[in-house]
Parts: sequence; structure tokens; C-alpha cells
Amino acid sequence: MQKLNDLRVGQYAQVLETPSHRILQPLGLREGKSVRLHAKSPLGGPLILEVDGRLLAVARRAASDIVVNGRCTREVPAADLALNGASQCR
Amino acid sequence: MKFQQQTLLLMGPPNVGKSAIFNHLTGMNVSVANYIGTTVEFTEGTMAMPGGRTALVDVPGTYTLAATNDAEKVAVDMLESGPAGVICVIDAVNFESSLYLLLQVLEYQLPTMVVVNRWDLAQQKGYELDFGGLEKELGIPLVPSIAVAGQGIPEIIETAARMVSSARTPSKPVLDDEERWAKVESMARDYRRQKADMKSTRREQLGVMMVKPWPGLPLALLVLTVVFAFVVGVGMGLRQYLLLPAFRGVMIPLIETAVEAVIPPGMVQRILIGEYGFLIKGIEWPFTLVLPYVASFYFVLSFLEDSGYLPRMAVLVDGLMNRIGLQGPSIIPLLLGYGCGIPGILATRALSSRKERIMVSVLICTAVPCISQTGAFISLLAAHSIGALLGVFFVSILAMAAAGLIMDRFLRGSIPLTIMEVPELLMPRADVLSKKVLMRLRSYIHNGALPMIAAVGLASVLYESGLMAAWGRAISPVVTGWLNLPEEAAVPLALGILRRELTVLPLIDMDVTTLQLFTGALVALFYVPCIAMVGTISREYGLKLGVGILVGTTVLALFIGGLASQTGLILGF
Ligand SMILES: Nc1nc2c(ncn2[C@@H]2O[C@H](COP(=O)(O)OP(=O)(O)O)[C@@H](O)[C@H]2O)c(=O)[nH]1
Repeated sequence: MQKLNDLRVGQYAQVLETPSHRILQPLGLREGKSVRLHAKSPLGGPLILEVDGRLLAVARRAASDIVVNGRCTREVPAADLALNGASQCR
Repeated sequence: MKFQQQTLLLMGPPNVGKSAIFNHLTGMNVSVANYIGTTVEFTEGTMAMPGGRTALVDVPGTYTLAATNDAEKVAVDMLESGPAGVICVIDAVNFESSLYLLLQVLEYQLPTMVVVNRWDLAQQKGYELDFGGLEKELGIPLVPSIAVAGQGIPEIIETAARMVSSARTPSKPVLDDEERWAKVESMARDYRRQKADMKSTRREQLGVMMVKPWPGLPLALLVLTVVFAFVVGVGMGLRQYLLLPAFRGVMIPLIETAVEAVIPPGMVQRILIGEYGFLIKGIEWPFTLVLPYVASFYFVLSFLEDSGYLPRMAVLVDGLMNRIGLQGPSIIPLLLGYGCGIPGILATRALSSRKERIMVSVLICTAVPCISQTGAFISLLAAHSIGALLGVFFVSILAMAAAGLIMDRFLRGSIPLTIMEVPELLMPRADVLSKKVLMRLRSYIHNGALPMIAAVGLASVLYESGLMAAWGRAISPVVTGWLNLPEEAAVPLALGILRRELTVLPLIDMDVTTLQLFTGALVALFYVPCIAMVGTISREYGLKLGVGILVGTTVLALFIGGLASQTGLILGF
């Protein structure tokens, strides 16, 4: 299974599974959302992610619990997600 | 808890602009208090509405009402304390997560209205919102607003008044978590549309660049350099061309003439206008030596705060801070501490663990000079040697790293995982910024300058009465023998307990070498934080830590100061 911190910098992916957490869901890391990895902070610092136009910093250890599908080469349009659910990336 | 009077709650997620709305809705008498049994702060004010006044409480911003942390518990507790209604602010930009919070609020079945704020930013991003449709679906009144521009405020007041008088409660949505998210996402699809092909704005691209290691890290260094140069440069300019001429040229001669005309030469006259004359030094020091740097520092700090840059810096240093057991966001209280330690210590309340709070507070007390003190350092050292000035800051950072490593070893507790939103980069608005700076300057005059004048007054009495000389002789082995400072430097050591900068300022008028200035500055850096800070520490963490800091810092300051001085002498400085 591919995890969020396995992504390459610049890569898009789709969230498949997020552990239930106080703020992960409200910050947008929910099943079906498209996420982009912008950068990995130095010295083991957090990942910089973008979800729904929102920038997040998520510790690598937390990101290793988030399952993603990284075969998206571009952002998944929200409308497609709504229509076809989680099976978008090919 | 039960609310004593008619109270409205202002709720919403973090960064939605709640404080901006609160400031527009309430008048002058606003109070900040600690919620019973927690370190969570909330603000309360009075709001004038057609049909009477009501209390308005700014509830701490939270993402959910799951009551898994203190802020959320406070929010839930307030909802259960019988408020007259809720003004729930949602974010036109981060639409889904704020709708989620709204759905949770609606479950309390209180009269509720919605404010959709940051409407201007949503438009910039190409969003179109169907306010009418959303209002109908939610079944409660809705008002769009742009809080920073004051737009929508009269409508909020009017709607709130109607809501209170009708006291109509919304019907209760009963949903589990998954259903709630599904409902939120469907509402977002139905009522918010993004125009096709919106490119990200330059502001957004810059916002991303600044948080990436490249070019974010070099940019951060550049920002810090510019900040330092601005604080020193603009401060010096203000002092040289505005404040010094005004005080030395006009105010002080005036005071001297006036005092000489009324009071005959003698001890009383010397107390007023003599060597430590408190009408002279007591005015000159706070207003010409320190005020210029307070002004330039608070201008930059407020700018950085309002632009959303600080969280970016916090993310960049998170990995580094983890090495000493801290999280990135703890640099925010540390930076505030460079202004004044007290707001710095209070800001640690926002940190996530007690261990982190204590560590950051102790660091602020020992190794972070406040702006009054930095102003004094600059006045003292910059003219002699910029190298010595940078040296003091270098030692300060070294000491912080060492103290962090040591405390991390000995204090129990693990570092929580960093999961945070990086807010948008915004150009601060001139009116908001100037208000903030003015408020901070006023607070400096109240809590900084006035006590400084009083302390100088006390010193002047002790000095003229000969008590100071006796004290100086008593501790002269330490001062002249170990620190190699002139005997009269014992005086500032006594004063320094009252105000941090007073450990250094008197040295300006003494005839000393650069090494002696450097030693004096180092002693001052690590010396007892002012009495008000020790008080704050004792209040927050108990008397034991307060006393510990008092004793610990004195020993540390004398030790490091002496070490530097002795080494300097051996090296032939
Ligand atoms: N562009 C824009 N900025 C806003 C608006 N409301 C608030 N802000 C800014 O957003 C930031 C966060 O606002 P603040 O009131 O401190 O948020 P709080 O955390 O909810 O109290 C500040 O820099 C505000 O100036 C708005 O409607 N439009």
C-alpha cells in the first residue's frame, strides 16, 4: 500500500484512507480528496501538502498512516471525484 | 458554568477572521480571561444591538467540537452554559471544514446565525457562492462578510438582534461523523462553484515558495537579516534624528531650568536632576534609548504576524526544533519574547504540551533579550563594535540550543506530531497594522517606561543617600575581581532586578573598554529577567520555578560574564 510519505515531491495523489484524527479530517485529508506533495521540510520536518487549495504541514510519522493512490499525474477535478468516487486515477 | 447575563457566542474555526469580526461588533470594554481550570483564553465584550446590549464571547477557534483538547472542551462547555444564541463564522475559502463545524454547532439547538467571511478571498480564487440556496438549506439566517473591510458588520448586528428576539431554534440534524462529512461535501458542491481554469494567483505561489526548503530557507535567512537591519537601522534613525534632539535639545534643558528655579541645590535637586536624576535619566533612557527600538521592532513583528509569514517559518524550523524537543510553532512565543517576555510566556499557552511550555518559558527568561534590553545593547555596543553586538546575539542563540538540549534530557514528555494549517500569505492592511503597533507602543509606555522611570527614581534615592556605594563595596570582589568591571557597575546589577535594560544602560555613561561593555552585555543577557517576568512565571507555573529562575539566572549570568571577561583578558582584548 502506498502511503502519503512515499510520494515524490511535486506528485499528485488521491487519499484512500486516513486514520480518524482530531484535525486530519477537518484539514481536508479525507477519503477521495486530491492531494499534492509540495515539499519535505529539512531535518525530518513535516511534509508540505496542498488539499482543496489549502496548505498543510503534516509530520512524516502522521503521513505514514495515510494511504494514498499516487498514480494520478495531475490534479483530479473535484467534479470527476464526485461522479466516479475513489476509482479515479489510472 | 452558567452565563449570568444574555450572552451571544461567536464561534468558528481558527483563522476565519473571528477576532476581526469581534473587534467590529464590540466597543471599548473588552476583557481577556482564562477559562476556569484551563490555560485557554477567551475574550468577552459588549455588543450594542437595536433593542439593547448583549455580552459577546469570542469562543476559542476550533476545527471540531469533539472535546479532545482544552480549547474544544471550552467551546463545548460554553455551548452548554445557556447562551442566548450563536453567531457561527464560516470560511468562504475553506468552506467544507467550516460547514462541518457549523453542523456540529447546530446540534446544540440554540438560535444560530451564519456569517460567511473572507468572501473577498474566495472571489479572488474564482469561487461563486449561492448564499440564498445555502441559507434555505440550512434554515437559519446567513450574512456574507469581509471582516477586514468592515463589510457585512451592520447586517450581522441587525440579524443577531432579530435572532435573539425571535429565539427560534434550528431543527436538529442527527448525523454521525461520516454522514456529516458527506452532507458537507454535497452542500459544497451545490452551493459553491469554482470558475473553470482558475490559475493560482501570484500571492498563492509565493505562499508555497516561502514554506518549501528551497527557496524558503534562504528566504527566511534573508527575512531575518532584513528584520535585524530594520530594527537597528530605523531605531537608530528615530533616535538620532527625532528623539534625541527632542529630548536632549528641548525637554531636558527645560526640566533642568524648571527644577533649578524651584529647588535649591542639594540632595533633593540631585535626586531630581543629578547623576541618576530621575527626571533626566528616568526620561532619557526609556524614551530616547529604548523607545526607538521598541517602535521599529513592533512594526516588523506586527507586519510578520499579519502577513501569515510566521507559521511558514515555524514549519521550516520544525525539524530543527524537534532536535531539542520542541515543535516549530514554539518559535512564535520566542519571537514575541524578543519584544517582551511577558506576552512571550503567555503565548506559550497555545503550545501543545506542558513540557514545551515550560521549556520555551525558561528559554525566554534566560537567553532571549527583550526589546528594551536589545535597545540598550544597541545603544551601548553598536557605536563601539558591531562585532561585539553580533557576538552577544550569537552567544544567546548558542545558550538557547544548549539549554534546550539539557532541558529536553531532563523534562519528561514526548513531542506531539506537528499537524497544522499554513494560513494564506496576505498583505497586511495599513490601518490594521498601525492600530496594532500603536496598541503595543501604548502598552510599552504603560508597562515598560513608567516602571523604568520609577526604578530610576528609586535608584536615584539610593545613590544619593550613599546606600548604593555601600552595596557596591559589598559586592565589589565579584564586580571588579571576577567581571573586571568598574566598581560603580554594582549599581546596575542591583537595578537590573527591577528592569532588564537597567543592567546595561548605566554603563553607557561610564568610561569602559569594549571588552567590559561586552562582559556587561553578557551579564545583562543572562541576568534575572525583570521582576514582572518572574511574577508571570510564578503565576503560570508556581513559585518554585519563579524562584529557581531568579537564582539560576543570577548564577548563570555572573558565571558566563566572568568567563568571557577572563578569557578576553587572556586573549589580550
Ligand atoms: N482578505 C480578508 N482577510 C481577512 C478577513 N477577515 C479576516 N482577515 C484576515 O485574516 C487573518 C486572521 O484573522 P483573525 O481575525 O485574527 O482570525 P481568527 O483566528 O479567526 O481570530 C488576519 O490577518 C485578518 O486580517 C476577510 O474577510 N478578508
